[in-house]
Formats: sequence, C-alpha cells, structure tokens
Amino acid sequence: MPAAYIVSPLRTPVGKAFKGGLRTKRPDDFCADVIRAVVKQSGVDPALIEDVILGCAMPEGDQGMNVARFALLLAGLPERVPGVTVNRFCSSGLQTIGMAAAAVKAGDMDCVLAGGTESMTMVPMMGFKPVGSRTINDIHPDFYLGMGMTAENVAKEYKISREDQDRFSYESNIKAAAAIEQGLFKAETVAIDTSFRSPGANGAVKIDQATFSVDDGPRADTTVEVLGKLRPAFLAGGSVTAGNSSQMSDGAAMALVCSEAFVKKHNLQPMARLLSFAVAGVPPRIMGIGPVEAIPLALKKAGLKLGQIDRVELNEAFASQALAVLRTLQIDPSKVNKTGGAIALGHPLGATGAKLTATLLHGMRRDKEKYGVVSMCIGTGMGAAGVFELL
Amino acid sequence: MSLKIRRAAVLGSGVMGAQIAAHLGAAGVRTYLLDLASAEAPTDKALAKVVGKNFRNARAVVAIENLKSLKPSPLYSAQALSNIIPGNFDDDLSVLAECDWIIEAVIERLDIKRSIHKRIAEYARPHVPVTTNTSGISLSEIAQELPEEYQQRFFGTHFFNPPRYMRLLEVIPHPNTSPKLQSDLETWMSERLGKGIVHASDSVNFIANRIGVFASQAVMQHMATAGLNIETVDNLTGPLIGHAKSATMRTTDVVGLDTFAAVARNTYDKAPNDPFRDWFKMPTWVDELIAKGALGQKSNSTGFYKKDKDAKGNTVILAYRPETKSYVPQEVKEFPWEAEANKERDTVKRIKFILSQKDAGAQFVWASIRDVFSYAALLLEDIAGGLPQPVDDAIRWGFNWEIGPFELWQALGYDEVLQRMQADKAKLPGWAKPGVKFYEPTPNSKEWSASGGATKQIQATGTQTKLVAIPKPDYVYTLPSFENKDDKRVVLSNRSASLVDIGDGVACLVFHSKMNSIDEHIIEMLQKATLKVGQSFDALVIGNDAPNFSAGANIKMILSAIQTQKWSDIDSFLRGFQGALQLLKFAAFPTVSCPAGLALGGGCEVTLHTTLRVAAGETYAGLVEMGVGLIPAGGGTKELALRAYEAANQGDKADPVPFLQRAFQLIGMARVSSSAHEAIEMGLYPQTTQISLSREHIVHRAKRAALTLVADGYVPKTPALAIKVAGDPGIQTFKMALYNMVQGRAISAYDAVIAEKVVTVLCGGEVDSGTAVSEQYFLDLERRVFIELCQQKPTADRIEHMLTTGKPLRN
Repeated sequence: MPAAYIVSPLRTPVGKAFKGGLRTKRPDDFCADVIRAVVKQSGVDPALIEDVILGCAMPEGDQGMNVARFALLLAGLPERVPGVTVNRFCSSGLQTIGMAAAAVKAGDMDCVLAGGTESMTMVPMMGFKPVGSRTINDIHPDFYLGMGMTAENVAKEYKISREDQDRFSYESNIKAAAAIEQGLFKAETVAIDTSFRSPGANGAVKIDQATFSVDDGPRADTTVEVLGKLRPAFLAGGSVTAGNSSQMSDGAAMALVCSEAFVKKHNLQPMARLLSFAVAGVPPRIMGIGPVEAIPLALKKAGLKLGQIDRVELNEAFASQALAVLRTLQIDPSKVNKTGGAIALGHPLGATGAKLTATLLHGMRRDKEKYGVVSMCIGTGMGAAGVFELL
Repeated sequence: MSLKIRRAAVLGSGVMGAQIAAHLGAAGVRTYLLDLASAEAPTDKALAKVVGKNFRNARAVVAIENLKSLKPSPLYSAQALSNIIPGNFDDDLSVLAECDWIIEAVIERLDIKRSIHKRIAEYARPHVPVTTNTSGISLSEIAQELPEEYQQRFFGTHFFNPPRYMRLLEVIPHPNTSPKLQSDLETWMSERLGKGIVHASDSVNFIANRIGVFASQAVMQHMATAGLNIETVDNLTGPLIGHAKSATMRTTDVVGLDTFAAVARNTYDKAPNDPFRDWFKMPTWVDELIAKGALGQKSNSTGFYKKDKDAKGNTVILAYRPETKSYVPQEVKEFPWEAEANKERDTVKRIKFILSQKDAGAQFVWASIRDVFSYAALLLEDIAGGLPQPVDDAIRWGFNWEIGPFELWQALGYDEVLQRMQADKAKLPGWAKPGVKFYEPTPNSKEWSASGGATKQIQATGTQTKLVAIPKPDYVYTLPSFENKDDKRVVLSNRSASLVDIGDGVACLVFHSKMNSIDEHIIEMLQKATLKVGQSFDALVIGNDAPNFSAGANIKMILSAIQTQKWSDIDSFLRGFQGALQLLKFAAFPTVSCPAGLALGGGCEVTLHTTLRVAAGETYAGLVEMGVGLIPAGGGTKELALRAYEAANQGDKADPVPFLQRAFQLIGMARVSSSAHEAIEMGLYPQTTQISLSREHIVHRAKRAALTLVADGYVPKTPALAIKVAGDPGIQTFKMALYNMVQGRAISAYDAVIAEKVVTVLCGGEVDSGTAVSEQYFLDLERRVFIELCQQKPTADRIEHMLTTGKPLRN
C-alpha cells in the first residue's frame, strides 16, 4: 500500500490566550508564518502544493471566512493553490494530516500542506454567538455539558483523585520547563514576528516590534501544594481546577504530507510516515475518554501493539481525562508527554493535533525512537489518534 | 457665588485620611492624598507591585489600595478611586496651591499638627479653608503660632469612622474663623458629602466623644456595683434602651480598647475640672487587658469578648471575666421584666417601663441613663454653647443612639426624671430647674412627628434658659409617615400612601406602609396620584424621608392568594401594579423618584418607571424576587429587557443575547447594589440617574429636576410597539448555560426553573427569533410566568421561609 510521508512538521511557539506572546497577532497571519517556514525548510516548490487543509475549532471572526485560503495567500503561495478549513474541534490539526494522508495514499494527490491554527484570544470557545437548540435542551441537555463538567464526570467515574490530578499537572509543568531550559523545542518552532500597537504621542500609533520564540505557558515554579490550593473551577466541591486543566492558547502548526514518489522526485527529507489515523465516538458526558477508543483502533489499523509504541503525545485537556486514558489503556506513563503537555504548554484547540505531531516527531528523532502516537479527546464525545513511524 | 470645591487635599493617609479622600472622590472632587515620603519600596512583594517605581508615594498608594478591602466598604464605586491622587509631603506640597479645601488628618500629636500647618501655610492659596480632622486636640493650640489670616480660614472638621456611613461631622471653629467661610463649607459638606453638621466648642474631645465615652465609663462604674457581667451589660445597654446593637462593651471592642482609653485619658488629662473626672480613669482590669494586647476586634477579635472555636469547630463568642482573668461562654442574666419590655416597639415607652422596675437590672439602667443626663446637662454650656440639639444630634449620628439624651429626658417627662435625679443627689447645673422644656414640641410626640422634629430649643446660660428657634433648611421636607388628612399639604391619602403638595406645582407621592412595602393601597394611590397630578400639578416626585424607599411588594398577601389558589387575584394585583407603573411611565408630565436605603423588588420597579431618579448615595437597589421564588412582574423585567434591546441597537442586526445577559444576571442573581453609584454601574439604573450623597436633599433635588424638565417642555414617552426579540432561540441559549450551572451545583434545580421564567420574559417569549412584539406583550409574559411560579410548591416554600426567618431559602 502506498505510504504518506510527513515532511518538515513545524509550529509556532504556543502563547497563552489574552496575555501571551501571540495575543495581538491574527491566527491567519501566524499560520502564514509557519507555512512559509515549512516551504522554506522542506525546499518544496510551492507551485506543486495541491491543497492546503487547515484545522480550526472555532472557524469564525478573525479565523473565519475559510481561514485556510487566507493563510496560504498571506504566506505567498501561488494563487492556484487551494485551501480548505476542517473542523473536528480539538483533533482538527491531526484530522487534516489524516485527510491529507488519505488523499496521498489513495493516489489522488502527491503533495498536501496540512495542520491547524487557532487564536483563543480572538475567538471565544463556542464562538461569538452560541445558540441553544430547543430539541437538544428538551431531549439531551447533557450534549451541552461544558468540558470542565465532563472532566469532573471522568474523575468521578474513573476514580481519579484530586491529588493525582495535581501531581500529574505539576509534572507536566516541570517536564515542559525542563524541555524549554534544554532548548528541546528549538528545532520544531518557528519564531514569530509580533507587534503591539499602543497610543503614541500626538495621536500617533506606537508600534513595538517583538519576536515570540518560546512557549510561554509552563510554570517552572509551581508546586503540588500550590496546585492543591486552587478552587474547583466547574463543580462546587469538585476536583477539576484551572491548574489541572489545559490552558487556553494561541498557536499554529503545519507539515507537508507527500507521496513516496513525490518525496523521491523532489529530493525531500521526510521525517516519518503516518501509518494510520482513527476517530471514534464516546458518550458526550465523558468526552475525555475518547482516546480509549481511538488509540486501539489506530494501532489495529497500523498493525502494531501498544507495547511497540515508544512515545505518546496525549493531549492533556484535563489531568483527570489524561490519567483515565493512561490507566484504562495501561500506557506506560514514562512514554507519555516526555516534554510536558497541554496543562503546561497550552492547547490551541484546532492547532493542537499538528502541534503534537511536530513535538512527537522531533522528540522521536532526538531520542532515536521508532513508533509514536498522537491522540486527544474531542468535545461532544470523540477521540482521535494517529500512529507514526520515524524514518 | 457658592463655594466651589473641585480639588482638595487630604494630608495624612491613615485610616481616616484615606477614607475621607474616598468620600470626597465619590462626591466628584479630585483629591490629593499625601503622606510622609517613603525612603524605600515596601518589602511585601504584593505591595511593592502596587506601589511600582515611585515608592516615595508608597504610604498613600498603599492606603488607597487598602480602601478596596476595607469593610464596610468606604467606596461607593471603584471609579471613585480614580479621583484620588497619591503624593508625599516632600515632593508634592505644591499641589496644595491647586486645592479648594485642605484637610489635615495626620497623627494626633500637637507638634506634628503644628508643623504640618506651617508647611500648608506656605502653599495654600489665600482664603481657601484649611481644616483639621482631630478628635481631641485643641484647635487654639494647633493654630497658636499661625498668622491671623490663616486662623480666619482654619477650623476643625471632625469626621467619624467610617466617614462614608457615619453621618456626624463636628465642626469646631477657631475664635478667629470667618463665620461666612465656615458656613459656606458647612452647606457644601451637608449637601455634597451628606454630613450632619454639629457645631462644637473647642473643648476637650468635643461633643460626641466627650458624652459618648462618658456613657461607657458610667456603665463600667455601675456594672461593678450591680455585679453584672459584660454580656448582661450589653444586653441592657443595646437596642433595649435605643442604643446601637453593639451596645457598650462590644462597641469598645470595635473601636479598640486602646483608642477608647486614649480618648478617656485625654479628658482626664485635659479637663481637670470635669465633674466626673475620676471616672475617666479606666478600671484596673481594663488597663490589664490593654497591657496584654487584648484590644478588641483588631487584635484577633480578643478584647472584652473573644472569638473562638468550640470543640465542633463552630465559631463562639466568649466573654471576659475580670475575676478569673479568663474568657468563658456567655451567660446573659435575664431580668423578669425583659420579655414584656421587648414587646414595646416605642423606645421611649420601653425605657419608661424599664425605669419603673425596681430590681438590680433596672437600677443599673437608671443609674447609667441618669449619669449621662447629669453629665450632658453639666457640660452643655461648655461643649455646645448651651444648646441641647447639637448634643442630641452628635450622639444620634456619632454613636447611633435612636434618641439623644436631652430628647429622651424630655420624652420620659422632664420633671419626673429631675425629681428622681435630685432624690439620688445627682449633680445638676443651675439652670436645671423644674419646668424646663429642652424642645418644642416635645420629642416623640405626635406634634413632633408632624413638624419633622423640634422647631425650638433652649439655650442655657448660668441659671437661666431661653427658647431659641431651630432654623429649618429649605431643602428638608417633612413628609407624612402615616395617614394624615389634617396636614393641609396632603392632597390624597390612604393607609399606605399620601400625595403631598410640596409647592411650585410639584406633588410628592409618599409611601408610609410598614417598610414602605408595595400593597394594594399604594397601587391605588399610584394610579390616583398620577391622574390627580395630571389635572392639578406640573410634575410628580415619589419619595419619602423614611430610612428605606421601599422594601418590596407585600409577599404576605401573595402567599395567602397562593394558599387559597386565587390565581385571578394575583393576576389582577399584577395588572393593577403594571397598569399603575405604565401610567407613570407614559404620563404627560415628568416623574422623578427618590430611591434611598432599600429600593427592592416592587419598590425598585417603581423607580425604574419614572422619568428620572435622584438617588441617595446609600441606595441598596435590586430586583430580588428570585429569593422568594418569583420574578419582577410589575414591569421591572420588562424595563431591563427593553433597555437591553435598545442597547443591542437592532438596526445593525446586533445579537441581543449578550445584552440580555446583563439583565439576566441582575434578576437571576438577585443582585443588590451597595450604593447608588453601583446601581448605575451594574446596569440596573440608567445613566441618567442623579446621585446625592445627602439623603436629606433628594426630594428637594428631585423637585428641582422635575421643574427643569417642565420648564424645558417635557415630551412624554410612548410605548414601544415593535421590539424585535431574541425569542425561543435566545431562551434555549440561556438554558444551555443554566443546565451547566445546575450540573456544576452553582445553582439549585429550582433556581434554574425560576431563571428560565426570567429569560422567557427577557427574550420576549417562546416566539421565533426576530419576531416583533409590543411592550404590553412583555407585561403579559411577566404575569404569565409569575403565576406559573406561584403554582409551584417551592415558590410557596420560599415565600413562607422569607416571612418566618427573613432570609431566602435555597430549595
């Protein structure tokens, strides 16, 4: 069967929403920066890119109007390159890589740019105008259950204690801070030019240029005790807090997905092959356990056993769901999120899948590993997983 | 031209200085708050961050920051803070040249006060008033070395703590103070700061502290004789005799035993001829407490009382026992006459009854009251120029007594009290002969109520007294507090409300039901008054001079209709109320309401329907029906909805839901404003609402505002006929959030039921989004959902619980 090769997976540093490094930059603009970097690093002729598939979880406002097309035009790709925006909430950035790979494997296309972008600063969760449905309210109000509450449900049903959640979150921060300290993310991140506009003298606008090059989410100084003092954020008397949940963030990540023939013909340097991609549905009430269904399915498609997997990037939407997934599937925690996860580094919704792919593949290359998995839970009750083989 | 105070400076950023600055800020005065320059940044990390780079202002900056967390809050609104500018004595005294009033509130030390005034004199513009906020230092001593020009504009302004809430402001002139300047500033402080001005002589501790502290000293003298413990003393000297709830010992705990002792010590040291001088020495056991650092509330709530935890972890308040020097559980000694005394609601009659008893408790009460009468009488000439009213005002406004000593003495019967005092060989001044009447008419009499207090008082000199008039300011209206058809100004009257002619073509609708709650009589009067004003007046003011504008609708009446399932009665009550408020809203003449104190539920709805509001600063307004399982259905929900749709500016196809959200939060969380300023900030009252920090001025200002509207050609409003509503999709969007709130246990399931009814009205009913509905449809929705709620048991339970306990039930 034909294979799909991943070339030059790169990402922006992830900025905290509202106060982080990307707060003033539009998601189409910083995505364009990543597209340019991928094209440059891979050496691909941009005219040969057959489609740009871009994930976005709240595709409206600053990231509306088919953000894929705008991002690629802003990046300076030829006008004949098309673009499509795809939304499967938090897995959108992996979904696009899966879709690109499917097209390549089917022989429809040879070179596709895939990834995701999201500014949670500029577009609120649920979008600018959420509207409830009378039918859902009457029949299944639980479909509208907030993500935090689903994390509480998971904590309760899977018996994940507050202490375990806080320790997990502490470790995520410590691992991420150490990775940054050692410069481990340098190879996968693209420094972004940002500018800040403020009032200047005599009615002029003062524009301060800045460069954002390091993830600003992790808290190296946090402790289990500090995390233990935070109040439950969603349920009175509950265990899920702002400290053991993922952060709201801004960011983008992209990669080229190419056929073997294309890679050879144009002398590209692929990092990995996508062996399989799978999605599965679970009850919306406990959406966080999505990976429990998706990971085995993806492994089965790839013909691999869990034991063969060297490294896992599991999106930490909430510590409770991440722990529930690890325990249920009996994944060795030492293989998971070796450089920290979304609790420390942030979760820019639609960009996360591609961001984790970049982190996984660069990490595997660094540590000379062979097989890796990216997986995440998805709002309204789904899970997604992709299995990669490093070349 | 009246005095203009646009910029002021307060020197000294202690607890009083900072709060005075906050009060001036709320009154719209740009105020510099200055203190000693700091040599370095604060060591505390959080404070260092607040102070920032300019640490020289650290003292004032930290004092301003602390205002945010002080309880009770000195801030009418957070915005008032932006009117306070921090600075320091070294770098910023030149700003004094900009100021229209300079208040010195530095530490109570003569040398420091003297030196700071010397420095103020270098910078202050000529003729600008400079006042000192001292509670015990003589004005003459402070101003001794200052030039006469300075003395002419120098006097004492003694604010009471907390200055936002304590009405008393003692004004103490220096012998050279310009009477005109003093009087102009007094007028300003009364109108703009809402202060009750009392003229005090430059005598030791002035009036309120001299008499108030003596009252406590007398209690401490007599408690030993009577063998009463601390908690029994407080039980006997609190609301039972018309004093503050914190009574005697607890008040001292709140003030601080050390502060209190310092004030007493000041009298002892500086008033060698005080008739009760020895009593100003603290009892040994109190000195011991102070030495131990048990200063009351500020020292970990340990003073005369101690806040502690019992074995179960519940908070308990223990009381001190001097004999064993330990804190023990409270044991209030009950006297046989107490139960009967407590049944009497009239304070004077209650005290009279207590004084007719013979046991140790009643003797103690008598001795304590007697000595205050005696002391106040002996000092009258020295502290208040022989006038009883300043003393009574000072004690009422400064110590929260319901009735001042001279008012009480006369109300109890001057001669009988005098005889009993003479029998006890109480010390008395020469003028205290039989037949003296401190006031005319007699306090607490019907005539006194009708005239809004006394019109004349005595002035005592030596062995003589003469009657002098009490001038009544033109801004004070005495409004009926009961059905009073004899009052010639009353145009219409029933048991709950009256329409009063307040002159110049303006009528004032006065509520006088219990707590001014809205009942069928008020509704009837609202309708009649609106018709009457249309025929015979130019404008209508709705206001009163009671503590509270209105505590809300009479829910007792609604509960009885629920219990007898008379839904049509509820419907017609609501139709009447809605109809009356719509009449008001669309009247051909301007209407102005005067919220003050509580303006809740139905009371708040009344104020939402008038053309304008002139609100007292201390206005606690809110649509709180949620607490009793109901929604505002007199048109209040409708008013907030209409304002939201207006703000959403539908011409531009804006989504109204975010605007409705704010209205929903007000009703759904039963939010009550902590001030009139906050009522505007939270979106309950429109921006057009005017605020007066003086409760006394609001009816006058409302009348003035109404007459301006009349003079400018008032254009009546017309009902909205086609409001494009959010409809069912809006309701469903709110329901999505409500479901999550219930799941997250932020609200109860029944809270969500009521909230859904609120949003049903706000969204204009379960119609398609964008459907145009009329104002009347909103009112129909209010009534429909109100009755739907009445038909559910948890609502009846909530009302019943509120009526029996006074607290909301969360079911």
